[in-house]
Amino acid sequence: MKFTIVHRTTYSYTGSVSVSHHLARLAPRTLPGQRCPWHELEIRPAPVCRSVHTDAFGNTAAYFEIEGKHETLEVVARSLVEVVVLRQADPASTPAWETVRAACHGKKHRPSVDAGALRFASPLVPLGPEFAAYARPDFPPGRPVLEGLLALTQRVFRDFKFDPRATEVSTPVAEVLRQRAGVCQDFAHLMLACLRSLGLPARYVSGYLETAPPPGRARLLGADASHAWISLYCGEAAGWVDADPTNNVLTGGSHITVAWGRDFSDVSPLRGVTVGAGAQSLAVAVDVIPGVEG
Amino acid sequence: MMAGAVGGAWQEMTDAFGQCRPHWQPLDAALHAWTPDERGALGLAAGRMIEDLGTTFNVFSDVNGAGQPYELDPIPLVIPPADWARVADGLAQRVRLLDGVLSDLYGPQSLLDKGLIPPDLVHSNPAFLPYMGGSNRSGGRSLVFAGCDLVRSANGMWMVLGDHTGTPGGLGQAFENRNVISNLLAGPFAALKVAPLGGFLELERATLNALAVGRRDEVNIVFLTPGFRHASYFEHAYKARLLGFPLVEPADLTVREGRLFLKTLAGLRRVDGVVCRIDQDGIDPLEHWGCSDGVPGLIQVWRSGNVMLANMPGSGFASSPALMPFLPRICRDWLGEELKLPFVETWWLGQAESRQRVMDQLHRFVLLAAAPAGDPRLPLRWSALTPAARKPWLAAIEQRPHDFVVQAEVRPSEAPSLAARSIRQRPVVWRAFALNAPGQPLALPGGLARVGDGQQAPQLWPNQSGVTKDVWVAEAGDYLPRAQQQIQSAAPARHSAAPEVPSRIAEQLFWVGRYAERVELATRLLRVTLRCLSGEAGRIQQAQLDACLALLTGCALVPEALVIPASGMLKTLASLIHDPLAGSGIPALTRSLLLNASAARDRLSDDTWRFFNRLEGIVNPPAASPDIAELLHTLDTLVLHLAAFAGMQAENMTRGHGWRFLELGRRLERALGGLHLLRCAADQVGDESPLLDPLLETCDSVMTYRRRHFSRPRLDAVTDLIFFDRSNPRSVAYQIAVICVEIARFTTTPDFGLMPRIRAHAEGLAARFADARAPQVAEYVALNDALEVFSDLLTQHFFSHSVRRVY
Repeated sequence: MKFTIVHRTTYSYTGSVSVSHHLARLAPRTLPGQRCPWHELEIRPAPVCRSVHTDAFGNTAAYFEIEGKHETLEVVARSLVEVVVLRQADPASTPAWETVRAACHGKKHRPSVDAGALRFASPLVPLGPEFAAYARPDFPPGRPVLEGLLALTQRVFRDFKFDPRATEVSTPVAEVLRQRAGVCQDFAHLMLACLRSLGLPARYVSGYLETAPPPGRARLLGADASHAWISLYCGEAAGWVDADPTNNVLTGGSHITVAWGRDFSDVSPLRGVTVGAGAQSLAVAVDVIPGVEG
Repeated sequence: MMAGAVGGAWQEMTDAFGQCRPHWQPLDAALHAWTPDERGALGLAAGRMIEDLGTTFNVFSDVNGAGQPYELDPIPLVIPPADWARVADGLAQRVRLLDGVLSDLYGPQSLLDKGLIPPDLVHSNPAFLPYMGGSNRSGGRSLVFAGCDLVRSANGMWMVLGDHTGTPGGLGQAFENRNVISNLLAGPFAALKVAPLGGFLELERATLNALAVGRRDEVNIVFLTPGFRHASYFEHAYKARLLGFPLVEPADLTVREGRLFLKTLAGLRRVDGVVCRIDQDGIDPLEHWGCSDGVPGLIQVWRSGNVMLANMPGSGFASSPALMPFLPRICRDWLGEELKLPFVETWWLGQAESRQRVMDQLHRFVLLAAAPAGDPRLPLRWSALTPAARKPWLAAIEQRPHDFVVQAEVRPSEAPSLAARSIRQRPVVWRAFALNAPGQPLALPGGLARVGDGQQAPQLWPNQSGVTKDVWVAEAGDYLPRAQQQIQSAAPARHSAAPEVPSRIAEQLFWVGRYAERVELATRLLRVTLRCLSGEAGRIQQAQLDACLALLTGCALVPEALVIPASGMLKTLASLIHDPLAGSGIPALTRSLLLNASAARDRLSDDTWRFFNRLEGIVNPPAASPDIAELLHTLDTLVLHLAAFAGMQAENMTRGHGWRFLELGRRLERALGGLHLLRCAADQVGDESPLLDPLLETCDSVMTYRRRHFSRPRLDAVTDLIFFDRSNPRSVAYQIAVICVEIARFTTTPDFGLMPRIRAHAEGLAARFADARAPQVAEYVALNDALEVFSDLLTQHFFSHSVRRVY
C-alpha cells in the first residue's frame, strides 16, 4: 500500500518574530514493513540555515533557523510511504511477560538488553506503583506478553474517554490516570508508565493514520493530525509490537511510523524557540492519501 | 565514634606518638606562638579579606537563598610532597579515564559491548543525555576540567569520595583562599616552599584555546554562567576573570547560521569555545525538554563541529556515584594499569549480586542517589534512620534499585582548625582539581579543603557553603612550570583583543550609574533634612524643614499623601535610611544598585567591588534606634563612599563602551534629579523661598553660590547655577552636554537603527540651553519626560529586551 502524506504546520504570531530556531522530526522512518522512498520539507519563510542528522533513536531530525522579521511560519512535510502488512506474531506463542522482563537485565549488549534501555522513567513518563497496579490485572503470572498487551490496550480504550479538552501537552500522566480522559498522546504515555512500571521495555511512537478509511470501515480517531501510539518489546522472536490504545488496535496497514523515543519529548514533530513574538496560534493539517499523487 | 571507622581518625598534623609531622612544623610553631587575641584577630582578618573579594556577598540571600556565605579557616591543610606525588598521579589517571568513559558512552559504547558497565546503569541515569550521542566531538575531549573529593582514611591513605565532572565548582574559591592566606601567613608559606597555583590557570587557558574550534588567527572563548541568581555566580565571575574570558549568560549568546555568537554593542562576535558552568537542563531548549532558558541551537552548533563546549553537556554523568565501582576494571582493561587512587567502598544497587551483598549491612552505609542530581532527600545515613523511616526507602530500593547507591560511612582525617580564639581538630575533605591537558593530564597542586563539624558523615556536608581551608602542597618543586612548557608548544597564540562588551552588561552598567546617582540624591536630601532637626528650633528652621519635605516628596522619596507628625519625624527619616522594607528609601535603592552591579561583576575592579561590599554594611539596620548624630554620620559616610566610587569610575575605568553606559546612566539620572528639584522650587511662591537653601545643599553648590552672590539664595540666580551653568558639574546643562559628547562617540554604526533619533533627541535637549529664559513648572515636567524618552530610546537600540517563547 502506498500513501502520499502532506503534513502542514502553520504558526501565526502576534507581533513579528525576528529570529527563530527549530527542530523537526517529520520524516517517516524506514523499518520492516515500511519504506519512505521520498520526503521533502518545505519551509516558509526560507531558512537561512538547515541541516539534517540522525538522533539517538535513529529518527531523522531536521534543524533550521529563520532570520528576519516574520509573522507566520509554515512547514510542509511531504512524504511518499509504502507500507506492507507484516504477519503479526501469534499472541499465545510469545514468551511470558516475566521472561521478557528478566531478559532485559544483562551485563552486555544483546537485543533484549538494548530494548531494556526503554524500561526506565523518562522526562514525561514517571514510574510508580499506581501504574503497575492499574496494569497488573492484565498481566497475571505466566501470561504471554503480547496477550497482556492486547488486554491492556483494550482496557485503556474502554476505561478512558477521548476528550481533547481534558488535557494539555503538560498534563502529567498521573492526572490522566485519575481523570480517565485525554488524547492519543496521553493514552500512549499512560500505557508506557504502566508497562514500564511492570519492568517491561516500551517506547513512544509518533506517526500518521490513513485519513479516509476503506469502504465499510470506520474512520480512526486522530487521523487529521499527528497520531501517537506505543510499541512493546515482546522478546527476540516477536520483537517490537505496536499497539494503538486510542483505537484499540494493533497497528498495521493504516499506521505510518515517523519517529520513536522514550516519550513525546524525544519525538515532538516541530519544536521551536522564537524571539520577539507575543502570543502565537497553531494550525496543523495532515492528509494521508492512498496512492501516489503528483 | 562513627560506625565503620577503625580506631581514631588520622591526624594530619601529629603522628601516632603525638609528634608534629615534619611538614607541619612551621605552622605548628606559628600556632603555638599566637596568643588567643592574635588567633581571634587572624580569623577576623581572614573573614574581612574574603568579604572584600566578594564571595560572601549576600544581597540575594532573601531572594533565592543563593549567595550563601562561606567561611575561611586561616589554618591551611598541608600536604607532604610524597602524598602529593601519589595523589597527582592518581588524579591525572582518573581524569583521563573519566574522559575516556564519557567519550565512549556518548560514542561507540564499547564499554557496554564488553560488559564493563551494565547498560542499565547508563540508561536509567537522567544525567546521561541521549541527544549528546554521536561521534562528532569537537575539541576531542568530553571532560576538560574535573574536581575530586578526597578523604584520608584512618590508615593514612587518600581515597576518592566522589567526582565532580558536570560543572565542577570550587576552583575560584581555592584561588581566593590562597590569595588571602598566603598574605596572612606569609612566613610559614615561604618556609614550606608551597607550590604556587597561578600556573594552573595559564595551563587551563592554553588547553581551552588549543581545544577551541578555531579560526587560526583568533580564538574567542566565553565563560557561560546561569546568571547572578545562581549560588555559584560569584565563583563563576572570579574564575572567569582569572582566566580572562568574558562572563556571559545564555541571553548574551545567539546562534546564527549554525554558528555561535556573542551579542555585543558593536554587533555579533563569533565564539569558538564555551566554558559551560550551566547545568545541562539549561543548555538548549531545542534539545532538552523542560528547558526554557539556554541558547537555542547551541547543541546543533556543537554537533556540526563549530564550537567547543567544556565540559561537554552530559559530562555530569561521570560523577554518578554508581559508576565508581566499575572504574577499576575499565582502568585495567583500557590502560593496562591499576586504578591509582583507591575509593571509598561503593555499591550500585542495580545489580542483584551487589544488592545481596549489602542489604543486610546497610547500617554501615550512607544511601546515595545513583545519579549526580538524584532524589533531593538523599544522601542519608542509614544508621541514623528509624525503622519506620527506613521502610519507604526499602520499598523504593525494591522498586527502583537502579536509582540507588550505598557508600561506606568514613571518618575523614582531622586537621587543626581555628574556631574563634581556640584551635580544635576537625575533619577535612580535600577537593582536588585536575585538568585534562593535551599530552598529559595535570592536577592542581592545592585545592579547597572543606571542614566538617562534629560527627556527620562527609557525604552529607553542604556543598555550597560552610568552612573551607587553603590546601598547601609543600615542596612540590617545579611541577607546573615543567608541564607548562609541554602544553604551550601545542597551543595556538592567544587572541589579541578581548571581545566587546555584551549588551546585557552595558545595560546593567547603565543602571548602576542611574542607581548610584539616585542613592546620592536621596542621601544628600536626607542629610540636609536631618540637619534642620538638629539645630535650635525656630521659625526659619520649621520653614526649612517643610521645604526639605517638599523636596523629598518632589523626588518621590516620600509618598505625596504622607503626613508626618512632628513627633514621628526622626523615626520616619531613620526608616528611609535603614529600613530595607521602606519602598523608596536608601536601602531599597542600594539594593537595586547592588543587584545591577553584581550582574556586571566581571567588569568591576576589586577596589570598586570592595566599595559595593561596604555599601551594604553602611545601610544595614543598627542594633539600637539611632539618634540624629548617628544618622548624620551614616549619611556622611555614604556621601564619601559614593564620591569614592565616582572617583574610581573617573580614574580607573578604561573608556570603553562599559564605562560609556555607566556614565550615560549617571548623567541622565543627575539631570533628572536637578529637574525634580528645580520644579519644586519653581512651584513655590516668592523669589527667596526657604527651599533654595536645601536645594543648593543637595546639589553640592552652596560654596559656588556664596562666592558669586554674597546673598540669600534667589530663584533666578539658583536657576542660573543649577540649570544653565555649563561649568557647574552639578547643573542640568552640564549633564546634557556630557550626554551629547558620549553619544557622538558611538561612531561604528552612526546610521544604524535608532541612532539618528538618539542623536537628534540629545541635540534637541542641548538646544534648550541656548535660550536664556528660565523654565516654568510645565517646562520642567516636559524636559523630564523628554529625558525618560531618551532613556527608552537607548534601551530599545542597545539592549535586547525580546521576549522568548519555547514550544
